[in-house]
Amino acid sequence: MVPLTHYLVLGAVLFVLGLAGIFLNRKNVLILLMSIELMLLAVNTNFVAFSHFLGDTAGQVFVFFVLTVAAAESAIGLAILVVLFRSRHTIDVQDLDRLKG
Amino acid sequence: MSDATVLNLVLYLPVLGALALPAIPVRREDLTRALALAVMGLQFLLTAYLYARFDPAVAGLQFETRLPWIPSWGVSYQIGLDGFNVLLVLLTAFLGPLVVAGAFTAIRKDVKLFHAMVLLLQFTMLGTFLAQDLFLFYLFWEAMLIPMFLIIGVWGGERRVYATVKFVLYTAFGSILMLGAVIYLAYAAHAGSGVSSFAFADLYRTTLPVPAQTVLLAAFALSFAIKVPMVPFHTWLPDAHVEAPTAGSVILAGVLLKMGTYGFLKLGFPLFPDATRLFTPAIMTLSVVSILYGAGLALVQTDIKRVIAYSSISHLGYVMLGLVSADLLGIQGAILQMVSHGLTAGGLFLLVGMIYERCHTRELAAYGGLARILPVYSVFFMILTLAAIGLPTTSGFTGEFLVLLGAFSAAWQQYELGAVQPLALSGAAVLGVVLGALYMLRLAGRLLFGEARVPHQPVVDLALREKLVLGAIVAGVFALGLYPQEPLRKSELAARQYQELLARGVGAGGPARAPEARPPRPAGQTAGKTP
Amino acid sequence: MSAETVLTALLPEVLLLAGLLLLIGLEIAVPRHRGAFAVSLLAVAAAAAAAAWLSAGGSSAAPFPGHYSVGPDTFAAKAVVLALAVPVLLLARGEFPGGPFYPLLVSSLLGVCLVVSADSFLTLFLGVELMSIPVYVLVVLAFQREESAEAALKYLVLSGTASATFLLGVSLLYGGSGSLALSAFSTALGSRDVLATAGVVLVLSAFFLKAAVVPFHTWAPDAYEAASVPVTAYMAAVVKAGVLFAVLRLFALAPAERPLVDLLALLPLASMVWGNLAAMRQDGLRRLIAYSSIAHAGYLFYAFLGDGPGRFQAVTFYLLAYGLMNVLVLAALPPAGDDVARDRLERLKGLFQRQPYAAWMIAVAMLSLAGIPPFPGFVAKFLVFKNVVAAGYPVYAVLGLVGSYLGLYFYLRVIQYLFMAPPPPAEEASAAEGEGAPSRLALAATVLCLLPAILIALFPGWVIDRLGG
Repeated sequence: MVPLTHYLVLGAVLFVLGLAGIFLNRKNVLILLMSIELMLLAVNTNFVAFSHFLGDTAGQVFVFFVLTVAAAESAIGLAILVVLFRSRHTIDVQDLDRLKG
Repeated sequence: MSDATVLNLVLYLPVLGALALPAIPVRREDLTRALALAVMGLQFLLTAYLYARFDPAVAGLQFETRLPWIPSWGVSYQIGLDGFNVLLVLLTAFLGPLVVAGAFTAIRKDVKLFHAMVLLLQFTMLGTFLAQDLFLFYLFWEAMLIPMFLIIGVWGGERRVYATVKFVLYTAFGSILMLGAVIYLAYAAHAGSGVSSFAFADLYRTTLPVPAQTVLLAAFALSFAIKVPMVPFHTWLPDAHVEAPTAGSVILAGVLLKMGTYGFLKLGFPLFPDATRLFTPAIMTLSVVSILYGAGLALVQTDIKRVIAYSSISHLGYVMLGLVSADLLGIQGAILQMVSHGLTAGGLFLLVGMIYERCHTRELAAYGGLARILPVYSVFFMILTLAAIGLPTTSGFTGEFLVLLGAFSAAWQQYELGAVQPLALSGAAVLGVVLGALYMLRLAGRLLFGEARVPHQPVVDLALREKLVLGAIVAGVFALGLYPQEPLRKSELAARQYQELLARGVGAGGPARAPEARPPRPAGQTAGKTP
Repeated sequence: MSAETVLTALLPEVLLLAGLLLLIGLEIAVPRHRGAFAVSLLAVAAAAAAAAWLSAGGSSAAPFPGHYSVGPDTFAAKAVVLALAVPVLLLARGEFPGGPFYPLLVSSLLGVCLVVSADSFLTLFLGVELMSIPVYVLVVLAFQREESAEAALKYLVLSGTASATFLLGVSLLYGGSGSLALSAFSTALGSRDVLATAGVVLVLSAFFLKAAVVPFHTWAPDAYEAASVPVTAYMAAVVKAGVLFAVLRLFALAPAERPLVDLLALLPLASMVWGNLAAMRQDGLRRLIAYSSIAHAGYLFYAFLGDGPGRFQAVTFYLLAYGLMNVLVLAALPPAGDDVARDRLERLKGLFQRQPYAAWMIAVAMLSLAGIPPFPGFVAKFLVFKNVVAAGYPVYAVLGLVGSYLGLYFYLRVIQYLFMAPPPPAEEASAAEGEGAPSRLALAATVLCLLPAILIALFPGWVIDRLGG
């Protein structure tokens, strides 16, 4: 039996990787979108792990909803990316500096 | 219609007037002015009626309206007249039409907006005086800032934006701390008595521990002290006065500054008696400093408006001195001095405005010998100068004299118990009278006498309208100076209530004077003051 | 539970859904139809009326036990949000004659309704996402400026990160409590368990980001600036409300305990200070509003320092007053040929001379947002700070008041421009050509914002009692 903590650590590591992808990424906007997906998957791992160890299926049901929402969000993100590319002709993160933030 | 309804009408008439203004076509400036004047005039008549009906023998509120407004908080819409505010309300209503009439030729652009702002300002000022509920009071207190911001900012002088922003930010800072104190006070009152209420009557009954009182009084006092203004919180005033249009200065000096002293009288001191006792030496010192510093600075100014601005600081120092003396005469003198200053300073600013309209400069050096060129103007100027100095038979004398009398008698009591400082301070305050004469006579002398000098020829003497306005003020000055009986009677019970409120609390002993030891006089007699 | 009860309980959502389906149907069946505006306006207004009527009726129900429940307070919250959306729609007609704007907006509103009634993390998550995802698209729609896409992307990425953080926190809470019920959050508030506290902090941080609280606020100025004016109004008024209602739902009646209280107080306080200070340096209206909303998010979260029962009232009342005024100022903003030029504060100089009504509306909104009596914003702030003091945090209250004071200057500056400054010189005016009076619909929107505001100013007690939790 793989203990619960192992799953949680895995989830945490994946989440941190995703976070790092967002904040340390300088190259490609697609990586931003992928990082968000990664974070959501990390959370899904947590949910499945907890669900299994608690014997409660609610967690696994939740995972389905999260997957759906993640898919919708990616679709929108990619659509916005296309609009961005059409006007700016670049997907380099460093070039997205028009706004002062 | 009942008197309470009349009082509500007095309060809301300016709002109704302001709401009626959009109906007037923009080009018909004369109609705008006429409407504003009519509204203010009507308001004054109604106020005078209520003043006459005000019964000096009744303690507490008269013509009261009390309606629940935010019941879950204990906030009610409660207004009424009592000895504390009746004179100030009369002053405000009296100055209203004079301000509007005085501004007929001075305001040329955005006339409708100007009169709307003046009317709204009148509304908020009256509301502050009439409110008997702390939430309502604060609401009016803060709301007053915006019309004044616009009046100075739109129609003022060259540095008007700087002056008005400084005015608002300075005043609002005090107000925001006061808001914290208001919230905390209501909460503490609720915790103590179990009843949630913002009404003054209920708040007077709460007793708080001394440390809490000290912090709360500090917050209230800061806000009021900025308004009065007391040194060292006075730096906004000279700029605000200089840059404001005449009407703005008249309202500012005539009424707005009194809101600070009224705040002390009605709220600051009575709500926190123990803290007041602790703060008295400091406040007394600051009052005397205000008197002397204001007078000293007035002596060296080259801009006429600045002289009068600093003189306001000095005159209101007397008011604070009277309030903090807690002596019956001192308190009544303070109330009287508030009204007197309103009249004299208002009148002087009107005079400055009139000469500015003609010659477009406020530099003292630019004028001279006006007594020969503008005789009628000079007569009014001289009368108001003497009133400001405190010549007997003018209102300035009664107020100042009573304040000093009260301060000395309170100081003497403390001297007998070993404290020298109050006596020394009171003595220094008398010096202020001398300085007052000095700077006012300097001003009048340079302006009216000596070699004739006018920046602009020809200059026309006062028009009928201007004479009527100034005449009204002078009439008020002499009325108050020769017949102070009536106003003193009307405010006496309030002054006694103020003393009682000051005397209660945790530690009512020590060098602070005991509750008024003299036997209560039958209404209608206050010894030794009838000139 | 009979079908009729469920339908009544879900009436606002049903009306919105019907409107949404009709919009999509029309889009498919009748290409280039012009009815989108009317349909969505009808649906939203009907839903708002239904929610208000149900709130007054005082009924409660739990159509989906454990996930979704309604009561007078939830109906009142929905009524507030939907009522705020009506002037936004009126405002949007000018920018968006048709197209995807309307279905997206209605979907987002549906999401907010879900949030308000949520009883489980599942419903809450779905509601928050349903609210936010359409807004990512709305920001880039109309594409008035090139920066819209960049801002939308930034918003999506940061908000997506927040959602993921939220879910991480939920997973920990789920693990600790064994159920997806929202009560796990309020229980975890009081517990000392590491996992529970971590969950709470993560969830709270996620919502801080979505509400644009310092230090997670960086997306807001860009998004507000680059989106078109109706969308900015929507974000400022409705999305903010949705996020705050989510947090209200989470906290339920639980008091905030130390040490969480400090987190809950310090970050909002920093928002107040930073938002107000940064707003002073802005020269574009929408960025100004963004920073102003960052500060207002601070005041809203401050309400959570207060005791449980009063929180709902304070937050809802504040959202109403604040939302009305934000929509008012954006509705009154005179149109201009160019979106960038329309935004510039310089253009507001001397507006009183040219368009007095617009100038008055903007002035009223600024004063209310600044918290000056007698405008609604003052009563709202008073309520929040009153609750904070009553809960025993006078120091935080004073700090908050000082923070709010810092905001006075830039609101005054707008009023100064409106009334005191001379109009911009002729060359600039021609560059910003196309300035006209706000359209009739925009005027209607301003009236719709003004009337409730007057009601709130004159009868605050009545309004607060209506919103009572």
